[in-house]
Amino acid sequence: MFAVIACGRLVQTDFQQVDANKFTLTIPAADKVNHLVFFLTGQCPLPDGAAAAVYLGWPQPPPSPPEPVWSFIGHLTNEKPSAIFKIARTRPQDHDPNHPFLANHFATGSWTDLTCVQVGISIEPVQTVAGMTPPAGTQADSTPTMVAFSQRMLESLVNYLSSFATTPPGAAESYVPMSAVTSSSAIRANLLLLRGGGGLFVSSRLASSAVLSTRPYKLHKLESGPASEAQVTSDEARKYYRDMATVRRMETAAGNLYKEKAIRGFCHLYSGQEACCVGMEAVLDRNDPVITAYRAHGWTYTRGVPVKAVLSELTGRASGCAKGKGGSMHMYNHNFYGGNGIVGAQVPLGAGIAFAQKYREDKRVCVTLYGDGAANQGQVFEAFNMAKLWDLPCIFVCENNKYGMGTAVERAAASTAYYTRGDYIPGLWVDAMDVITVREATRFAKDWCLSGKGPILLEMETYRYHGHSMSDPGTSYRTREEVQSMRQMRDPIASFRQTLLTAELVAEEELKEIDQSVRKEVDEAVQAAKTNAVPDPKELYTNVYSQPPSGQPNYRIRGIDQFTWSAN
Amino acid sequence: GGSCRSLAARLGPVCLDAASFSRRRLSFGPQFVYTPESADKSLGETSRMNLFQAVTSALDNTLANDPSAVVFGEDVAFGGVFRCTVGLKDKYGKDRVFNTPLSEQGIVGFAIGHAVAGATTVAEIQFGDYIFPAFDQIANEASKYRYRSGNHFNCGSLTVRAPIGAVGHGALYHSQSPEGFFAHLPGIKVVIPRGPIQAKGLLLACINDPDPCFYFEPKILYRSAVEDVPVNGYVLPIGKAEVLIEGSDVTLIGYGTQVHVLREVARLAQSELGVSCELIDMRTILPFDEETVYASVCKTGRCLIAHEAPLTGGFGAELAASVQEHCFLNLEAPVRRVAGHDTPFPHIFENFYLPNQRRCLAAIKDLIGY
Repeated sequence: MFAVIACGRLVQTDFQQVDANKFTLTIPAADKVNHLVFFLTGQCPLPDGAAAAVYLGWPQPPPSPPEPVWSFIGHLTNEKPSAIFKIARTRPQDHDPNHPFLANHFATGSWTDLTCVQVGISIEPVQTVAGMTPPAGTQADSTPTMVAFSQRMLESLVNYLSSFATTPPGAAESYVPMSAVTSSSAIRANLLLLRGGGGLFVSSRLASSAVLSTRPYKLHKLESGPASEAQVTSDEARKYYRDMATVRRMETAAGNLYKEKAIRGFCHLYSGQEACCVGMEAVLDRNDPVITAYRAHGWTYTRGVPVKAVLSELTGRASGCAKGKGGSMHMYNHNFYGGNGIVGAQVPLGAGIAFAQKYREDKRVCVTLYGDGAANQGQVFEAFNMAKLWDLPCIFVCENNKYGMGTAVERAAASTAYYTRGDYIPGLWVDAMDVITVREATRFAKDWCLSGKGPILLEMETYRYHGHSMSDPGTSYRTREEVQSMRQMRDPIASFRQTLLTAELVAEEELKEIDQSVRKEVDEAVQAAKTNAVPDPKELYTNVYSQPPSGQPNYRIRGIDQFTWSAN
Repeated sequence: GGSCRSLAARLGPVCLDAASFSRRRLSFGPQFVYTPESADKSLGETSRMNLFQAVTSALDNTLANDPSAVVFGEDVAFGGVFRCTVGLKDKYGKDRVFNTPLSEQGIVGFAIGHAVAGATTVAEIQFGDYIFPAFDQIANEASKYRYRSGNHFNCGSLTVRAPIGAVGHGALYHSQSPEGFFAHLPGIKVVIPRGPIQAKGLLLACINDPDPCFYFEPKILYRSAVEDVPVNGYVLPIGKAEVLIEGSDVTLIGYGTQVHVLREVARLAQSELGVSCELIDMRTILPFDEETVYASVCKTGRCLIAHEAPLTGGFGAELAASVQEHCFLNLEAPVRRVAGHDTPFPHIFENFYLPNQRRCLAAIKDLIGY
């Protein structure tokens, strides 16, 4: 049914059927191949409504196990029975080792032996395949190169020249001075752009904003949902990218510190879920309170706690945001109420905070987050009832990462449609692997609450790459393939990066610079977290009550022995 | 500063100077060496087991011999986060060994109902720190069922298991010792084992006991305590404390992990102070063995109670009040308690919070010198 041609070689049709809907084939000496042409041979068409998703599996260099790492590169359908894919850039050695989601997986090693690539074709429904994003640089251009090149050159020249346009006093329209047109710097600037160099030129020549589409939402007891398109400026784009990259890097650093035993106890990492906190924070401001559960480091950062203070709190230093007394699960900041260890306990608290906002007539919403595991706690439903009864401006957010510790959602919940479980509270299901989708959902929710319509429930469907906590490898209840495929096909940072490059909102060089500066920031924070001072011993018994409890100026915490007290 | 130097002088080698923390690697958690015990020969063939394996063995015996028995809780089907239920689902089926959703109040309420209907029910709460949403069910339903129904109904076939206690890095929500709250509920029983042989016998006793039992397992002992445990079922008495070391000068009372810390304290008291200590493991918190405790304190005249839970209102307070009431004329010194501070279980400085050997030894010095 399928065939593939590598340039300069015989056509290959030797696909092996390995499953009801899966076929594979090996291409030898693929390190020399730059393009692959896939086509349906016409012997039999694809079933109705199906597409053939094409994957490449490059072997991993040692010390990784030899199973191939699969990446999606494109698809064929009956309507589009042939396609050319550029595969040179999918080779792992060509990948940028600084790329956020490859940081941990990239191993150095010799590539000379690992030259075969496996091709996999999987027949899947068209809707599934349509939503998948191939990596950058795999789609062949359909326009002739010369035409495309000239087009870009002309566009950049027009952009450059129009930036000199001025309107002389009394004139009806603007004019570009001849000096701008004839000066050699005009040509030079444009050539620089086309060669992709010169950060300053590049950034001022790109689009300053773009309209991006959001992924589809699902509605519960709502007539209409959030916008299907959103305007994103290049400044916003840079900020979202930077914040997500920072959270990712910070969590990776936390994981490493834990493995070095600089952090002990419990550490729940947020990697994979970055789009949720960054997307929501894009619409909230620092006066909107937020309360969440223990997978809180990402939110702690977006709520304004610097990476240094987060990591220091993890290592129990005095420079930590809770003076080292709370640890991973108890980080706080102004209008960030933590950081809560007991599952579900934060939800009624969030309703209470929302009530305080309403009582004080602050035009604010309280964002109350919980996970799919907590969604089965009784107190969550108690909070829903109170919030709806009293029309509280509370945005309940279920961060559904599909697993409550090691239990898949289907095994814990009679209904996994978490966005409907508020019953009488309207709900929205959000694909939370896309930051703009999250942002628009949050905008909708905030408007809803502030217009006095009461609470609303958002289900952010997301994914965590690591296990539940650092004690959980995360692979005994889900396959490595599942985790890999999420990382490759739906990673929030990688897909946002590609969106930005395609929309020409931000240049690749800038993204690289952001990555580098994020890395520097986190590395410095790690150093501080390892070397900063531990808290003063009196922190062991301070802040139990207000100090001292009023009316008892000589109050001392009982149980502390005499010798400890003499330190006061 | 200067105050720290005076501390150092009194404490000896342990230094509270903050700067030295960053230089030294302090060990965390309760400091003890586990002393394995051996089982009565009459109990038959044994197998090497640690504490969680002893628990699994007890549950295995129960499921094998009692067709009504079920075991459930969060994540128990794959074996449990502390591996106490490994292999049971495969052996007895998913109708008898199954997972519950994340709902402690629901789990315990559901368990009480199942027990009231007559089935042997063993429910697990994943960490003792999480038991509080279920506290209403325990206080208002489980403990009062027999009494309020005039013995018409009871939930005696209920056993609830939960891991408790300090582990070195558990911080606020994975280290608590809640036995004090439960000691205040007439109608239930509260049991805490000190090692694998004790664990299996006491758990089987709880499961067979005609009253609802709350069985708290010291989580730090799950792996570190290893003994040759009888493979068949056997029971140890509930409501009976055990004298582990006989002595003449001071009675040391503890339970769970603290028993092992106190063993070391007894040894140090002998070698450093020449004081002979009698060590008692309470084993059952409620109803506690008054006879053994009073007999011992009347003999020695001095009593030190130690527990990880905070001082005020801890179980030690009940013991101390009862001891002074029954042994007043025999007491040479006031009853002392060494316990966790009246603070939440800390994220930092855990080894200063716990009733460690040095603090206990200092209390013994005070008792002797009174």
